[in-house]
Amino acid sequence: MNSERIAITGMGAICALGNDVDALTRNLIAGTRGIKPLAHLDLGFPELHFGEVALSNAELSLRVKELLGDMDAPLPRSRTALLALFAALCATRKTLDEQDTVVISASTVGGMDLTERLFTDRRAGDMAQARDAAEHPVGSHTSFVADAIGSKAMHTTISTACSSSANAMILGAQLLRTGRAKRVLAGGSDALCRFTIEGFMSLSAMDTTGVTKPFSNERNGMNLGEAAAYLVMEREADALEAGRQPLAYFAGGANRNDAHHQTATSPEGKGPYLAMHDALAVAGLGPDEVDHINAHGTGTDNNDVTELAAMERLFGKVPQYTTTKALTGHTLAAAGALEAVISIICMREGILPVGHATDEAITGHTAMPVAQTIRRPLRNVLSNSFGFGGNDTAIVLMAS
Amino acid sequence: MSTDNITTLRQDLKAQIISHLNLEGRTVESIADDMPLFDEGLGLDSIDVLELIVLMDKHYGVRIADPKQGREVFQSVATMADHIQANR
Amino acid sequence: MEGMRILSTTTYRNGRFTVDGKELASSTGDIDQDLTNAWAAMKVELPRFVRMDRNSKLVSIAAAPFFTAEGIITKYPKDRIGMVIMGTHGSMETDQRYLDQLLAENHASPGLFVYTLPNIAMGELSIQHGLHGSGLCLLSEAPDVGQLRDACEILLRDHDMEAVICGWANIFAGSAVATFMVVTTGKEGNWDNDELERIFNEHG
Repeated sequence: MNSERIAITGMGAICALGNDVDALTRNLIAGTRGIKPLAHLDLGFPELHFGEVALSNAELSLRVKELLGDMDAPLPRSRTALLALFAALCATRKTLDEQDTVVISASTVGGMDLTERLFTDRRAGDMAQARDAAEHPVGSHTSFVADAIGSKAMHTTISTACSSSANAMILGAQLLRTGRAKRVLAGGSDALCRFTIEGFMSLSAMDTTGVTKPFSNERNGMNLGEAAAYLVMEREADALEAGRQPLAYFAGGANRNDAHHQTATSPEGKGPYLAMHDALAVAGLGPDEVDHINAHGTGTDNNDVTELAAMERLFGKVPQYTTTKALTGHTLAAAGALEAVISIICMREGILPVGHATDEAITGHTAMPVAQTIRRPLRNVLSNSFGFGGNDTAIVLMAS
Repeated sequence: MSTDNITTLRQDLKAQIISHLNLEGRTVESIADDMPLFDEGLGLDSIDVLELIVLMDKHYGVRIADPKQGREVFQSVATMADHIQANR
Repeated sequence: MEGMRILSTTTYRNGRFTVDGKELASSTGDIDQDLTNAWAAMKVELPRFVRMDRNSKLVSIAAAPFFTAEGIITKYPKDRIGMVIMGTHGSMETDQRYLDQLLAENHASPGLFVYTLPNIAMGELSIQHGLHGSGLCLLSEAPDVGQLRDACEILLRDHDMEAVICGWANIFAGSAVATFMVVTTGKEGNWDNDELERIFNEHG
């Protein structure tokens, strides 16, 4: 296997903490938080807090058209697809020719946000038509992205719940390492919709009192968020030859199954432990060399205590860790890629942001998350993304 | 509440559990009032607790705020019926 | 140089269930009865099975023959068995059931919501057999044998998996189709793209 480094040479993101990478950077440095009641989407739930992207679908469409340089471009109507298009076009802005770019994208919602709107707009009898709408399948957004960036290469859709876009990056890196792809655009997108909100409510997984409080004894659930994020990945030699400087390196990742329960992680965090352990092995890092962990940290009772158990078992002395889901919300399939972008920003700026500050560790444990913004150089970040179905992924990013 | 009403409530609950949780092949007769609903017995799990919480709210207007409380309330059809009677 | 080796193959075509060419169940024309019959043919004791959605049942059935007492995959360590499952519609059928109920009755069923993800079927399989390996769930318009091969090879050569359960599973609009294989690397590879294209696209 080629031991050449995999460089990240482009990134695009849109989330509650910023409508693009520059805004996201400013807000991370300023310690801004992006979670609040809904302001743009008409979904109800006035009592809940979300990581909502601060743009309406119309505003998003406009921005996508500007990036395409065509104000008459026909666009999909699904918010998931619009977010994806925006982030993908931002990520590929600097590379002029994307014909050879393999697109690996992830989503859980897909076009569901559109389908549920169409259903309520029409009589029940038209439901079948609404369903058949081309945008409904999860994979449709990937085709839109591939077409928009002008890719003629293979594209594929990954759907493994909350670990999806992290898995997309791992697959992308392997395709590059084995010479199966010349360049990869990897990432994901998920928009807020009733389908998801009601579903997580029915699982009693949401924080119904306000902003999530991960890794604390007061935690009582997650805030849902929406986002899209894409990263351009290339072999370092190819990037340098094209005059593109690496923004960071993708040092490797691992995916393992927890095999315990569809929605809850095993008490000892077996899947998370194996994923983190193997990711470090692939990246060639010892536990004592990890500078920072971007935790999955959803704020649910089960995730935080099991993730902490796994971190303590693997590291003994746990590196400084934080969860940015307290800033952006849990962005589901987009989380892996979004938090990779955030991790790269953190390495670039030398910053560890606060997710939720707590003054005591979860009962029975010792490691607390970062309680105030820390400025220090970061050589690497381990980023966790754990999905329903026990699909647990960890990736390692290194500074350039 | 009269014994007849308790019996009816328990029978209704059994029928609702079977239909809500899609327990194929289960009959009302096969669920004893005191049969453990979780693990051995009916074999329900933590997600089923959440379904039963919704059932209790929708059909009987009885809310269970904390899912952890659910395990006690949903130990058997008898404990469910008692909880409904006490809280509705 | 080692090649990709397929050790065993199962197919499910709307009720007709075969293992390495031998028929274990046949079609009744009723999608749920077919799933029940195919599972019964495996004689596995699993109370959870009847509670699963159709997607998870289909995946459990297609993989079951590999895990019998004499099953081909049982000699591999449980943390070295990977999975690559590809389909078109993923969990769409369950998505629609969940959405219908949500919008028509204002009732979100947690038991249904859990299954509104394509990879939950893989999760169920992992739980059943205690598998801690690497897994990928891919969506594609049609079976893509090339992508399946690449994914298997990556899991086997670059992610330390010793065997991979690899296949296509799709259940939607009254049609239930699955083709599963156990893939390893071995001295004599027998992976034949053309032959597999034929098998994956053949309708029973």
